[in-house]
Amino acid sequence: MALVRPRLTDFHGILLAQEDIDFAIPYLDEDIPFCVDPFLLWKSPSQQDNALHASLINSFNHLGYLVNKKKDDQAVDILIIASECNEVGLGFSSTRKGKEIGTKAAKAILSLFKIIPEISNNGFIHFEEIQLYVDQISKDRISDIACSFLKSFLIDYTIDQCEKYGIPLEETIISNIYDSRRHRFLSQEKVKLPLTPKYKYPILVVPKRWLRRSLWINSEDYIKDYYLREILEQNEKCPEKGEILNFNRYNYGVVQNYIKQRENSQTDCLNDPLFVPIPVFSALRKYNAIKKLPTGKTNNADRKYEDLICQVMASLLYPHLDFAAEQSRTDSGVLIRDLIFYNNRSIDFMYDIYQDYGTRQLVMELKNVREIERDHINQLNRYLSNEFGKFGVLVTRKPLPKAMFKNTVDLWSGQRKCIIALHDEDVELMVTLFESKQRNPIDVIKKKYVEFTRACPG
Amino acid sequence: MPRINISSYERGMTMKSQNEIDEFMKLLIQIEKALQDFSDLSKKKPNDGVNKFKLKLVNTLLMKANSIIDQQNKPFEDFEKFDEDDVPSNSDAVLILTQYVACLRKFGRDQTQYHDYKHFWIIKGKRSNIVADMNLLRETSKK
Repeated sequence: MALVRPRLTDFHGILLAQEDIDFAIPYLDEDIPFCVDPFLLWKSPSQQDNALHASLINSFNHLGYLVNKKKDDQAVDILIIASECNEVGLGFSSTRKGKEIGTKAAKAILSLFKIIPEISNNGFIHFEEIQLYVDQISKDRISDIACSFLKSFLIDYTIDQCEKYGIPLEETIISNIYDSRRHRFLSQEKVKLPLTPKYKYPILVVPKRWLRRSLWINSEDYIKDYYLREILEQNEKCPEKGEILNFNRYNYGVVQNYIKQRENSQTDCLNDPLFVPIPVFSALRKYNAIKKLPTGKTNNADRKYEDLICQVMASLLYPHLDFAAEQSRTDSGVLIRDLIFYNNRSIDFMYDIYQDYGTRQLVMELKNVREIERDHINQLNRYLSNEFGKFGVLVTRKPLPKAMFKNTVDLWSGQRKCIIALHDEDVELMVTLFESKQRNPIDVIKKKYVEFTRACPG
Repeated sequence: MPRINISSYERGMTMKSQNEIDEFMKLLIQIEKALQDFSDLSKKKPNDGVNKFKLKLVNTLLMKANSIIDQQNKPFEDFEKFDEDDVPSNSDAVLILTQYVACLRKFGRDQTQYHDYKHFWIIKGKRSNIVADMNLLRETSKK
């Protein structure tokens, strides 16, 4: 069995928690649902980021120069190539592969350099503005354009980070690196980069400080918080998005006012964390909801229990265990829901679990049953192999009956497999520790493990 | 045969110097204060875990108490100190510290002799001229 939702570091067995490193750890098979916001580079206190933003804007405005010089075809080609940057794996698709924009969309963007005289003369300061003039330009498209123009820097950054953490690099050919001196894309370049294991595609990593879930300057925000409030007359009906974009093209000053507003409120523009734990208050509320749920399947109690535990556990165990996925599987005709965590071995206990049981990913099986039975333990037991190692956690409602606890001890004696059970009181203790911050909630899992080992023979 | 209570003094467990008495009294005061703090915490959140820093300090006090107190006066035969892996709670700490305070007081009282309307510490089996502060050694000590 392969890793569930493999990440670059986990695949190579490198012990890194997302919290501790500068870049967003990319998935090998899918995109990270974030985008590079050029505004974060613009507002960054780092001179390097500011310089990169200047270079990015310069590259984009060069397209305007080409348009003004009647070299439209050349500009279209550059923009189409720049519109997709698969190597960074950012965006909202389920695979790492995206599609470039078409000629029509590229021409629509480039037409801004003709229609709007201020842009034609002075170019853009924030090129994400194009969303306010052209339809169908999504945030990941802006992100991809930014990454394409900054690809040369990202290659150096990736090599630097990979060497720092020992991520293996392989020689590969990377296409479409933007040469900012000659203002064109180099077709192919030989570099050493980390590759996806299956198809050997190159991977670029991106600093976390550049990432946001949505862009600071975006059309939804413009329409909702600016256009509807400032421009639209009272009792006037809100026009279609297309009409608003058209209005913007002929009212450059209005858009610039909005941009000024966004620039002035730049202190509020922060990069988004890759994982946001639920607030303490919310964890308590969710635990109270769990406590009230009946066991079994009455009124979908099992489904509700699984959903709540999933939300609570992902937050309680962060940042020691990065949440990988929630998945369903069927065993003996029974639908089972698991939570999978990356074991980044950031604390001694998880390191021991990796050493002793070979657990690269921790699996938690959720059981909203009145009493754990032999079948439940066997289901998890059958699942404990390869990447999950020989350590599993059952999350259930009540303590294991004596016979079942003995069953788990016997399992350890016979097969050296360790199954520990967390019940409501343990979850309550975890939530209490999460709230008071006196201890780490993961210590409760360690406690259960220590109790289990004390009961084991020898 | 009726059970005879033999004091620590009678078993030959006596203080050896004034320094030892001072250390004992300091420890008793420290454990009492720790008990007070944990009682306050426990009233608010009895099941909350004790953090590792506090646990280390409490364990230091308990180990010191174990080294002073004799086996007879030790609250629990199989308890030495808290295991941090067990994630002990505030109420656990209160339970143990209460027991230790009571047993230390009992041990302290055993080390004194009443004479001339006062209690004196016994050092090396002999009554010294150091007066014992019985307010601290009595079960209902003044807070």
